[in-house]
Amino acid sequence: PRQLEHSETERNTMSRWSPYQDNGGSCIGIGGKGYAIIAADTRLSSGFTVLSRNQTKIAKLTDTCVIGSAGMAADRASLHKNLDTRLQWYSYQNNGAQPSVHGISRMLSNTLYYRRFFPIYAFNIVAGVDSNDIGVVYSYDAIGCVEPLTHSAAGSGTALMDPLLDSELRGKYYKAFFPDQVSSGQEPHPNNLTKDEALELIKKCFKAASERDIYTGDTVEVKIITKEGIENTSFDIRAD
Amino acid sequence: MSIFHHNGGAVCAMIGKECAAIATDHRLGVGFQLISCQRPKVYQMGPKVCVGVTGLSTDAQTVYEKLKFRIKMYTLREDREISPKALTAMASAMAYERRFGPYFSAPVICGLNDKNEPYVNGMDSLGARGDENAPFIVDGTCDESLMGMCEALWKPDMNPDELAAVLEKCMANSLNRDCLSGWGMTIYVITKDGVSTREVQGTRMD
Repeated sequence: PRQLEHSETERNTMSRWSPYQDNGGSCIGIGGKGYAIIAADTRLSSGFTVLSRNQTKIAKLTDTCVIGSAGMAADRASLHKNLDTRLQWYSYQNNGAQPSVHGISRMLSNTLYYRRFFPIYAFNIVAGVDSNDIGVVYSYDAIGCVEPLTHSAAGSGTALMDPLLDSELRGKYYKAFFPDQVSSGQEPHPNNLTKDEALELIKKCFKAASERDIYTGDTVEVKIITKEGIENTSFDIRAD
Repeated sequence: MSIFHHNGGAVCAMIGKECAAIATDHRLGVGFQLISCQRPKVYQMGPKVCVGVTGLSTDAQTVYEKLKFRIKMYTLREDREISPKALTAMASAMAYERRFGPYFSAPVICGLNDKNEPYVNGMDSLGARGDENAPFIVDGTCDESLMGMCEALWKPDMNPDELAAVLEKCMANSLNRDCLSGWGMTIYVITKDGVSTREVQGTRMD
């Protein structure tokens, strides 16, 4: 039998270096009539180690729009910085105006698809309130597939939290959410929870996820967007 | 796709106040193709004990039949009904017999013992049992979803109606998010009067 080259044996047994890392954590977005909420835990992990208990996943984009991303911390930081810069340019080139949440959602989708063959490892949720006081959440996959929803979860706790959100927010038969039809009055907003009820639901979700998901824990940072502005709050969950 | 997810299926069991309940979906598939929507995974093994078997369907069927045989032998020899705790130990020993060539299925046991104390327990395919005092046990393709739902919605000392309602909510929402399980749902509520079965209508059939 032929003597195998050293590189051949190595190729079969050694795992290749990967440019990606999963830094864990979860993010939820809920959009209702007149409000949108994004909440994300503040834990940063690598494998079974906790690297930080106080690392944000959320970034404010405009006065009415916020983004939260789960996945790889480095790609998240780079993406948020990139979006922030692009939005500054928008305001310089448009006489100080800020884009709507719908415009930002499309921009992010294009940004992600631009990297179709070397994706940005961030699972994003964009939440905001548009000019007609409709709260909407846009949920993304890693390469820019986007959908407007009333609620979404991203990150390691998705499987644990999504059905809990569905049980309160999604009716028996799923109906797609079209923000422009809601804005024009053709349809009522499918989410009939108030802002406080939505916040209680988010607390319930994170408390459940922190029990069973090792990557979710420490504190949850919450940003509540209304047409008046963005309110910040936070609550503690299990730190083990 | 993992061998445990090849045929699909999910089971969830919970305890309440002097009652226990177990729920199953009805789907049997081969990968993403549906074969049958009338294949519940839970079987009644005694007047107050049910067993649910998830995982690879062929192994689940074999485990069920072997377990049924051993329970009949137990009943003949001991001249009494088997308690859920003993059934768990029996299923666990049976699984470990195949330590180096295991059955790709995981039984979930749910029932009341002769003092009407509720008991649920589950194990992995090698027979490693869970916590004796577990409030709920979940297994199947949507196990993470079920875990999150049960963690949020379960509370101690629920009566049979409450327990059935909570179990239905947990199961229905988790099945609706999973393409490998669903196509109908049945809940078995076990009280001191026996096992009552209810097929749940209105879940997504997809």
